[in-house]
Amino acid sequence: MDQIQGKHFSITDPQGVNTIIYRVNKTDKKLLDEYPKYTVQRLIYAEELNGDLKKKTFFVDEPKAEEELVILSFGKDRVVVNMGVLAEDKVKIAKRPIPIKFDTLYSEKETEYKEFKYTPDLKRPISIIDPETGEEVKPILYFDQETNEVKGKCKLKPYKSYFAFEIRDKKEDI
Amino acid sequence: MSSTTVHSNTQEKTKIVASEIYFTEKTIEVPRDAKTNKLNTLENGITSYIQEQGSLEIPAGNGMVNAKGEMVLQNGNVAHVTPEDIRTLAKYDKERKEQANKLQAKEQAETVR
Repeated sequence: MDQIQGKHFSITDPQGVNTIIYRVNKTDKKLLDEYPKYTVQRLIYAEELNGDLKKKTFFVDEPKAEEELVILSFGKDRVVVNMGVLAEDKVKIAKRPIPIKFDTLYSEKETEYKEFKYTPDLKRPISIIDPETGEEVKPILYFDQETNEVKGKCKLKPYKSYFAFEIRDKKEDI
Repeated sequence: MSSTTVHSNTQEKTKIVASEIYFTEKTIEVPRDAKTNKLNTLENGITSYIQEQGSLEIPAGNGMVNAKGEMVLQNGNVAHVTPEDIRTLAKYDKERKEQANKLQAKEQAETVR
């Protein structure tokens, strides 16, 4: 990789908030037999500490004319889901984000990580995120020689809250 | 006998469907209230939701990221990303090119027919 062109924009996280942003990609109709209709890509960012605040500069590589963004801000017991559109020289972010409260997050009972069998459906990509770390749960794929199938496994904590989302179509008549 | 096909004018919109989930010893579970409340609150197309709710604007600048992990911003300042971020960008770049090549191959095959 030599260098990759793109667009950048910055947001500031207050203490205790961790914002991550995904870009929504729509697959060309001619490739729908090989790829799911929508996929998401997590944006990379550079971080700068400023007292209790964290300035994050996100980078969108090779953007199209308009890019839809999913903005997730993880706090102590909730995630705030917001939406944005990157077009030309600005990002428009909806004024009313949607909070989702976690009921079982930060349970006092300590649990250990266990290995789970989790084979993702490659035709229906669902992103699973650990709200405490903001890290995505990505299964390790392996080939099961007994059943001749590709399977997945990952380490998770049972009974701990995770956040899951996917992008779907909403067809409307106009 | 002739027939007429009437096409409805449909516009595709993306919507986000999200939920809290948890894993038991054997399954992935969705908390009961998450099924009925939380999923339904996100039933909006992204672009239309922004238009309906109004929006704040953040400026975006042109920039680039190089193999050294430097994010060069529009104003000339340089921020830094991790080696893992570089690998991520390289992966996105590879995927984008793969899809573009496949699309081009399909379109050429259609033209030949």
